Amino acid sequence: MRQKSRALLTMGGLLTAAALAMACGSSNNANKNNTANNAAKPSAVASAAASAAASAAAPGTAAAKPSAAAASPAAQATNQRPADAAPPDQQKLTVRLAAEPEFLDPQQSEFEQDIAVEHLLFRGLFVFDKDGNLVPALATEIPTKENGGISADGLTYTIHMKTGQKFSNGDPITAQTMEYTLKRELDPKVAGSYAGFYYDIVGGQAYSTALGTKDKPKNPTDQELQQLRDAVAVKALDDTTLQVKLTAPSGSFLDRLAIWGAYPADKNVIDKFGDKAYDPANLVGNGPYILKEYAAKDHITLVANPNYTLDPKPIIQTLTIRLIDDSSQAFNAWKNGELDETDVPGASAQQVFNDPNLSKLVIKFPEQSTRGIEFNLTQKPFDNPKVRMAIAKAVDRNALAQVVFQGTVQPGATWLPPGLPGYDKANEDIQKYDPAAAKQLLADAGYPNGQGFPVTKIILTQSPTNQNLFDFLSKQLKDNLNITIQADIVDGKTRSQRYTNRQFELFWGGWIGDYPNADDWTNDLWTTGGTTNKPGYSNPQFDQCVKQAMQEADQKKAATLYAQCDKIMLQDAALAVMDHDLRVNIFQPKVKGVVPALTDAGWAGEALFESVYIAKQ
Amino acid sequence: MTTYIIRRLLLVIPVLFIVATVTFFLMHNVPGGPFTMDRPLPPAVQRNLNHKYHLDKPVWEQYLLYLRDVLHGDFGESFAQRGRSVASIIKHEFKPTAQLGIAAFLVAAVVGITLGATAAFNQNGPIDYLCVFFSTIGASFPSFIIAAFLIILFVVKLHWFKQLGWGDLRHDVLPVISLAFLPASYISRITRASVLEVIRQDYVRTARAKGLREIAVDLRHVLRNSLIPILTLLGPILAGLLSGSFIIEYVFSIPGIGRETVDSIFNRDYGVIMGTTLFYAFLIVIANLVVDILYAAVDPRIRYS
Amino acid sequence: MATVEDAGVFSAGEVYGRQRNLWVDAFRRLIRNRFALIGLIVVATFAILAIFAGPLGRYDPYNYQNYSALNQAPSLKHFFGTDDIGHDNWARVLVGLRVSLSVSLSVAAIVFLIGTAMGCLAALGGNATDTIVMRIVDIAYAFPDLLLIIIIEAVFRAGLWQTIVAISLVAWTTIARLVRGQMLSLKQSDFVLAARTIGASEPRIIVQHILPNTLGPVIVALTFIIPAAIFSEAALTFVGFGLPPPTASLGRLIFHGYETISVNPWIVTFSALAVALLMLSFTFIGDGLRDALDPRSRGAK
Repeated sequence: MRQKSRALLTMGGLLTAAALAMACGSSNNANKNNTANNAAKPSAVASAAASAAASAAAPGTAAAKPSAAAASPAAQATNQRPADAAPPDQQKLTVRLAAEPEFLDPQQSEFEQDIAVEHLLFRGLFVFDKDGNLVPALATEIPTKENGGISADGLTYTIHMKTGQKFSNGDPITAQTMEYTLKRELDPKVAGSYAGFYYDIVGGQAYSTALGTKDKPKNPTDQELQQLRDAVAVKALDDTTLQVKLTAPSGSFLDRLAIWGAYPADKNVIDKFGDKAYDPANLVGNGPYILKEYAAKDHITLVANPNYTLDPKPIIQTLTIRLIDDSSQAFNAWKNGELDETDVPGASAQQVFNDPNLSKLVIKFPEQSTRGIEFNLTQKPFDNPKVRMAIAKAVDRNALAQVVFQGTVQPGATWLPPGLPGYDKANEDIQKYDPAAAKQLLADAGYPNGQGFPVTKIILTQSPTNQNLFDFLSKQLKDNLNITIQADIVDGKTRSQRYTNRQFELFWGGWIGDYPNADDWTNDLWTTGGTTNKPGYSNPQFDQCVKQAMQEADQKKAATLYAQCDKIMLQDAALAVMDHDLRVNIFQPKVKGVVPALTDAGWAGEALFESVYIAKQ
Repeated sequence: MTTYIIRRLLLVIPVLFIVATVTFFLMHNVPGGPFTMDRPLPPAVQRNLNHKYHLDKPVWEQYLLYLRDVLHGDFGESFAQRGRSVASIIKHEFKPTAQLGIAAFLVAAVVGITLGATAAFNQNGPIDYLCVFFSTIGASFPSFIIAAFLIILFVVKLHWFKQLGWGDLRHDVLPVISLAFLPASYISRITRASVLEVIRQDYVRTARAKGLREIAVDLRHVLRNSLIPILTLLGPILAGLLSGSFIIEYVFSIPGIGRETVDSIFNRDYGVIMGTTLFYAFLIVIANLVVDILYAAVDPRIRYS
Repeated sequence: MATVEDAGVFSAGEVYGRQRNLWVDAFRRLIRNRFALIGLIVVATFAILAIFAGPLGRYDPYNYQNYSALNQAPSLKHFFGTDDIGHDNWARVLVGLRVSLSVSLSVAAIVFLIGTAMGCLAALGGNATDTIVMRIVDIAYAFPDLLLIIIIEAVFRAGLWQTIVAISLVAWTTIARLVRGQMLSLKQSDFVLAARTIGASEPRIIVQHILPNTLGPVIVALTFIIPAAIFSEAALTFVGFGLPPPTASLGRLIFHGYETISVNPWIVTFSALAVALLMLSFTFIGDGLRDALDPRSRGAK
């Protein structure tokens, strides 16, 4: 007993010593930090949802629209392997996703993590290049009025598809496949979340809303449903020609054909497996990768699709996606070599940016995102535009981006983010930080020096960044306007529910674009009575502006119009814009060829993953 | 006693039933559902989703349907992990949690009992102080802080172990140690107290007076008798460890039931919430029963009629 | 005198005198225990720091945010350094002490009242009551309290009392079980039997014999519940609940420090040390109390 006790005690003492040594301050190499600005920690689902639905792009340059010059080979890397690429058996990459995909059914998906993986498993009619321009994938060329792809009245689209396209199991992809896919997206029994994106197809809305709403349900028979389905104006004229008729011309329809909602669905597989068609064991796609292994809550393994019919072919042969909630743990794993890519956690961002070695490995790229303080415009005190503008002008956005988010966001004061056609730098001045003007506005509104202004609450989810965010905002508003705000901390779903039911006063929210067209940012979102217009903004002038812009065929003119719409919204202080989120990833030095795009949903370069490779070491 | 045990076992059913019912109705009254999205869905899409997953029926009807399914052994499917049945999720994720829990329990029990006994035998000596100190250190820091230090030292600096995942020794050692710290401390203090109490007893004095060697006294009389009350306290500790430590599973990215329980609540994944709740409730009730039986078996003064 | 004390027998007529001496006697023994004394001093110091957190803090723990002094190490200007948004950490720790101590003391009080009441009910109310109460304990213990917490937070928003209730939800079951176990075993013990033989009435027996001997272990258990409540609060913060900002409790500070540990090890260091010291102190006090109140050890030393 005595011998044993001595040995035990030595070990016990050592352990204690170690623990204490660590307690007295670890050096700079220690890493424990949380996700940059994404919401509730435990539910990574909520964090993805908090960045509002899925990704998409906005071009780096103004001309977002497809040119008649069709497929630009330059935009897609050549099939040549780079000279410094390691041999194929070393082309393995391990990346991190913060949350597990809900499922991998493109017609049902709406979370970023789902879409990130679907980018790799599927290819649709078109693809966005790194600047957000449309480039043909399954289609042979981009339809335009000039080449007859779009009718003169802008209502009929005729899309020619490439021959010889196949799913990974050999099933052919034809125009009939695409007809089936689009109808599937609109099928009310499939309940696709993005069905609303295809309501401008003739018959689309009628079909998708065939079951009515919660308050007014309808119960159509199977026959009636079939009739509605047949009435949807998507038709395969022959094996390689697809025709779609719209209810009104739109500058963004082709964009919407390029997103995941229109990724091809294999009817054979769905007929055979029904609900289980998109289970990992049965899933069939046509993208550069196929699903090899799916270990729930742990990792997903993809391998290069040997039957990939498009070009360029991927260089990475095996991609392992590890599902890790906590970004500081993920960062540790990256430092330890267990991951080749991860997100830079918000709390240690500055440290990474200042480090001469690490900063070289960082890729910082804008997401199409805008965030800010949203108001409930239907009740006091935020029904008063002067109050709202006072708040918008009372917050120092630069300090916010630097201090709270450590440079992982870009300060902004426009609703339409930079890079999206319609963005106008001049609009940034409207809500510019100006504490003196803010004070004056509040006084004009009837609350001189904040007197009589009620204590209001802002809804936030729990996270250390949000805590800092709140501390910062409350100090700014207290110092500059002498008003007090309180934090209303709730979990992710409760937050979403409150928003949907308009049960909030202040709300930290925003938007992430789905595709690079400003109608995604304005129509229904801020137009009077829009189903997603939760703040309750209503300005007929704005509605008119958006309507005009949507009907404008010339994309350049449309952009100018959208800029004016943005101006109206900002002058009304429909919300107080604060910043635009950035994607900040860090890669191991051996990883090359990463082409970040605005369409990325999971990590930098994933939408155009064919160009990534491991360099020879 | 036998009647008591049978009665308790029968009572398990109503307890589980009440837990299930309360949970079900509570669950459906928490704001937000599995399809509440950050981006508000158009009402038609909401309707389609609710219709597809039978969430549009009144709650009591869904409850009865659920009961009927459960009686047939069908616990439903998960929303957050589509296509996976609740039963398979629980089965799959209980394995790492159980492995982690049992391993941590064994480590805690061995270390705790050894330390506690050593301290008691050397009462008020330097070893005793060290043991008490060490055990209280273990109980003074939250498990995620201990985990953080262990990770900094052994993963980031020394590269001895891996942090994320579960399955082999390199991944498993740190989570087990992190989890074992607190119960080890608790067990060592209890052991010390219990051994001290037994040592003072008359029959130990008698054994010594009889001329038995110290070691024999220690092992045969003291330890054996002091372990019995300790055993009864180990029950709830094991049950607690088996139910999964969310924090450790989260920090080390272990796909276990602790995490699943919390995640499912945040995701409003109704089937999984019910499944994990029932599972956990069952474990707790059985553990309590075992402890109560042991308690009565050990202390003759307690009588259940 | 010694034998009577050892056997713990109280003669009916001397009960009152005995009562006073039991507690006073225990207190004296407690103070003589060096560790317990240290524990008491530390807790008292922390209590003073907590009560006077305002003036002692030197800075406003919430509104002082010095953006040009982020993540600084301890210095004369900032005793415990600053955090990632420029708060003064010393002020935050002091205020954190106040918040955490109030939360944990409230939890201890609630848990004591409810737990003791339920435990008494179970032990003294007959078999049916015992079964029912114990099943209620089972249910409360088995219940996913997180669900209830979410509802409370959703309906009543996150706040001080919500956190107290959340932590107390399960904690009371330990006290209930403890009290019940103690009382059940005491019910059959010799001195109670003796008191009954003498002719003391049932309520008198309960109040003057069983209860005081039960309270001993309960008080000891409570001294562990107090720091455990601070841990629970930290765990709640980890999960996503806990006190809302800007409130700086020790649990929140620990969690925030854990999140920013690579840039600033000082936040977690000081807050975790504060909790650890509290835990240690309460443990020593608890141990001392247990030794002081244990009738058997009275004669041995």
